[in-house]
Amino acid sequence: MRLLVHNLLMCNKCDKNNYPLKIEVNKSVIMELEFKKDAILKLIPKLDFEVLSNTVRELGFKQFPKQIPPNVDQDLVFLKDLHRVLFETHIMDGQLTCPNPSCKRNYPITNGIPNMILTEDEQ
Amino acid sequence: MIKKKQLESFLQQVPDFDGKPNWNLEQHMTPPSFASEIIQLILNEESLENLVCADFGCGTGMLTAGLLCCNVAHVFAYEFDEKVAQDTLQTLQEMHDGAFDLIITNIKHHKFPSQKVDLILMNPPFGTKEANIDTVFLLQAFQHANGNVYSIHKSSTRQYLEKLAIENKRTFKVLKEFEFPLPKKFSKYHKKDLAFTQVDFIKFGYVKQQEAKQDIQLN
Repeated sequence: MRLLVHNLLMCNKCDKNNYPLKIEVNKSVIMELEFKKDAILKLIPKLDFEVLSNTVRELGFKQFPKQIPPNVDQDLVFLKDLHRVLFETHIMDGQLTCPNPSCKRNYPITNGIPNMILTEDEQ
Repeated sequence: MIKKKQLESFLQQVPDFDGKPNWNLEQHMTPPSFASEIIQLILNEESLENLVCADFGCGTGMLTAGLLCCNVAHVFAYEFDEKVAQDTLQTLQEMHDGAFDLIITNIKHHKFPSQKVDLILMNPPFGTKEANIDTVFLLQAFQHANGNVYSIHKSSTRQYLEKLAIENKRTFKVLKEFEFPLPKKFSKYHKKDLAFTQVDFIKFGYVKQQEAKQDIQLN
């Protein structure tokens, strides 16, 4: 599961305070992917950048910027870091947890795939 | 732009469902010839280069594989069956180095962020097992994409879907009619192993809300 996916996922049970999901990582891997500048630039407006940045820094990449730098289309260093965290970092095993204190529902990540299915009782 | 024959040849590598397909989920593989043709039809409508896409109910990943061949930025592939999702992740990773992710979820209950992806391409269940599931997939898709939704549906539902499109401020265009092969259990024809059902490949076009408002004023 890429962090790009995490950026879009919310708790399927709750309507409020259901995003972003907290990540607990048991295993992650880096898998290289060809850098495509235009693809990354197109992706940026779709991201909740604050959530991505907080998540990335919580996972250990402390120097990742808190905001999108100015002249981003010229900033190859930033774009390559972004590519690394969005496309090349895979959470293989772990869990996602709802941030709502009255929910805290866990969604497992197994072999790189998050499972967001609710049980019948939860629907 | 990838040629139909090349694409079809590539897509023939996508394996069918392992073991017995789950009929309640209407598990059936989109045939490679079909998939390559619909990709060509989409390419006549728009460029897929660098688009962020989604495939609802991806199954074997046939349509996701097709999108990857067109140099999209990424595909979010959603699937209900855990084993199918794991298998599809494995096979597609081996076939293509493009970026895609599998998410196991129930499209009915999944909370999709609004207006997020550039394009959705899907072959949803036809609604033969669970009534109205095709409508559910479409409504979710309309909400999630600020771009075109391309989907396959039984031709018998065409009028209904055209109304649904209008209600949801989408344009409606049947790009092509097909005879879709289904194992006999899915269809009312019990005599043969394989039966064909007439389907429409439909473009539910995205209309930016500003424009829609203007249309209403003109009328």
